Amino acid sequence: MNVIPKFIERNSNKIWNDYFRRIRKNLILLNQQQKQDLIKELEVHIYESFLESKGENETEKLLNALERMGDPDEFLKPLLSKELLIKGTKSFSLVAIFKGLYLNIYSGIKAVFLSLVFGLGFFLSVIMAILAVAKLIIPGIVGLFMFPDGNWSFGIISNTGGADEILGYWIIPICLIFSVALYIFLTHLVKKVFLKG
Amino acid sequence: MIDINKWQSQVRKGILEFLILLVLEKREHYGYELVKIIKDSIFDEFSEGTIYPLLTRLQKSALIKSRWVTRETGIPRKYYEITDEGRNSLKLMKATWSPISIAIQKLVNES
Repeated sequence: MNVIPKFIERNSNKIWNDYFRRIRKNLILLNQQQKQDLIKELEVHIYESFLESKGENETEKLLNALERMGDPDEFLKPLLSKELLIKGTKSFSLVAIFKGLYLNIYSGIKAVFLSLVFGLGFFLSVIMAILAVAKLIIPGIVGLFMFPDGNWSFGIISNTGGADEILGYWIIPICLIFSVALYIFLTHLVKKVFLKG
Repeated sequence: MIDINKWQSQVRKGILEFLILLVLEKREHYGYELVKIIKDSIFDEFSEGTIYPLLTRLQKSALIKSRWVTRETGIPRKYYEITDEGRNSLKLMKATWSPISIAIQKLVNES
C-alpha cells in the first residue's frame, strides 16, 4: 500500500514527487522488494513528519519535513555505494566497482586511502590487458627492453634504440594472466574490506 | 580551526548504530519514532534519513529484525526489534563504551 498523502496545493504534490524521484534514482540497484519496502518506509516517515511540521501552509510544512529528512543523494549514498560494491564483486563488473569505490571516497580517510589503492590496482590490471593487445598491434615497441647500459624498461617504449626485447610474444599471456589474476584478487579483496558486516 | 559541524557529523556517524540498539533494547520502535527519541535525547540536529541505511545494515547483520504493522488509520509502520545477537553485540558495545566515556569525561573535566 502506498502512503502518498492527498495534498491540496499543487506545489506540494510536485515537491513530493520530485523528492521521491530522487529517492528512486538512488535505490536503482536494490531489488524490487527492497526498493518498495524502503520507499514505503520513507513515505510514512515523511508523511508523519509533515503532519507534525510547523508552517503557514501545506507546502511550507512539507518543505520543513523534507529539510529535516535530508538530501537523499547524501543519506542514501552509503546504501548505494555498498550495493554497487556488492553487485560489482558478484558480477566482476569494473564499472560498478569503480562507482562504489568512488562513492566510498565520501566515507572517511581510511576509505579514501583504500579506495585509491584499489583504484590504482584495478588501473594496473587494465593497463596489463592493454599491453597484451598492444603487442599484437605495435609489437616492435611493446615488451621488456634491456638497454646496453644495463637499464631496463617495461611497457610501450617509444625509443628502443639498441635495446633487446626479452619476452617476445610471451608478454601477451604473461600480461593477460597477471591482469585477470590481479582483477580477481582485488575484487575479492574489495568484498572483504568494504563489505564485511 | 576545526570544522565543528564536520566533527559533530563524524561523532554522530560513529555512535548512531550504538544509539539505535540502546533504544531498541527497551522495546520495539518504528523509524520515525526512533529518530524522534534520538533527536530528543542526544542529537537534535541530524538528517533523519541517515537512520535508514543504518537500519538496513543492522538488519542485514541480523542484529535487529522488522515487521510491518498496519494501524486502524491505514498507515503502515515498520517496527524494528533487537535480536538475541543484537543484545549480545550491544553488551560488547557497552563494555567498550563505558571506559572510553569515563576516560574522555575525566580529560574534559581536567582541561
